[in-house]
Amino acid sequence: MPAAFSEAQIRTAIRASLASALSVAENTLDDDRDFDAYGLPSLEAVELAGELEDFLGREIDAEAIFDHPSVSQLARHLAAAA
Amino acid sequence: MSAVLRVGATPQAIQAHYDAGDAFFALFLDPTRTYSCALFNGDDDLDAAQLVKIDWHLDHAGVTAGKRLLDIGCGWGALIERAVRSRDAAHATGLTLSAAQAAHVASMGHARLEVRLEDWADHAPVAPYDAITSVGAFEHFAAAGLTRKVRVDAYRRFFAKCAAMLATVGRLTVQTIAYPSDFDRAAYDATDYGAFVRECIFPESDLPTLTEILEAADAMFEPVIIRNDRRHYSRTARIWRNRLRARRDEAVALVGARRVDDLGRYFRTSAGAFDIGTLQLLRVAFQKRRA
Repeated sequence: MPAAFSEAQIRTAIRASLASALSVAENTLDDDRDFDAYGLPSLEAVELAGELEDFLGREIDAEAIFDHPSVSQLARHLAAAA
Repeated sequence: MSAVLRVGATPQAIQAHYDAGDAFFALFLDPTRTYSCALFNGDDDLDAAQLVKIDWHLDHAGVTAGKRLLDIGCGWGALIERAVRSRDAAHATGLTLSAAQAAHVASMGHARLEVRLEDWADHAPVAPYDAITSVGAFEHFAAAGLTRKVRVDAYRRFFAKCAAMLATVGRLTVQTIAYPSDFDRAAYDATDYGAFVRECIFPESDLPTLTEILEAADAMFEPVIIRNDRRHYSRTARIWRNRLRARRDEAVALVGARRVDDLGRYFRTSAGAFDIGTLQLLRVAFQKRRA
């Protein structure tokens, strides 16, 4: 069984991946801002989903990024779907 | 094919990708070493789904007893082997640009199987074929950086060559990864991932769109069935990736950590790209038009 992660842990992982994808410092990120608004290209979003897949140790449908398009929404979704 | 006319990937580029060694690919592919998207029915495992995929092509290319088949980009020969062993095809020829793959197919030693280390453009059949299949090769028919017109012209030469090699009542199936028709190639190339794929995974190759394929085929072939099975490729790529991870130590010993990690990243991200439709997986069955 993959380890269970809290919403806070997942949020931290998403923030780290997003900051890296955007080449910005984590403390500049707004958890409620849409990924789109950051100008995140869809393939970078897909890579972000892949990194989360590795972090959580389970499959993540990349559509989740588009259905839950902010750090907060995605963390909530992934924590609930665990 | 002369260097001037060549618009697809070079044999060197193909070999860089596919000649990593049979032992390496055997670590994560199914036993037939089919290195293209499977076709899943329900809960089928990868091994079963690869056979279903092969059968889809044999069915829609009309490969039955006594027929002559050409497989362009035959890989490790699973499709042509099934054509002669399970369908009783009269003869099956496979073309590949990978020496490792050609050697493997030649070692099967079946009288009605032939493998040639040859570009499709150079192939001179001794008699017309009844059926042609091409699974996971179309991706390499156009080099990166071409204009749409040059790309479509290259694809048109492929379809014209296929039509010339087929009997009057001939069928062709093509399976390829494709972009959506409004895909922005320049924006993709500018992404970190686009550059990575170009450099590390498929040098010298670009992908078609469905409209480019249909436009290129139009004068010679009519489409009978068009499927976009992108979700099947998400599933295939995730299985390959999980298997590669499970046997990472052996893989690293064979090809080095860099190659293993690059391929893992490619499988992981392409699975996601197929999830969201940035990549499509097309299976198209054609029949030759009446002249």
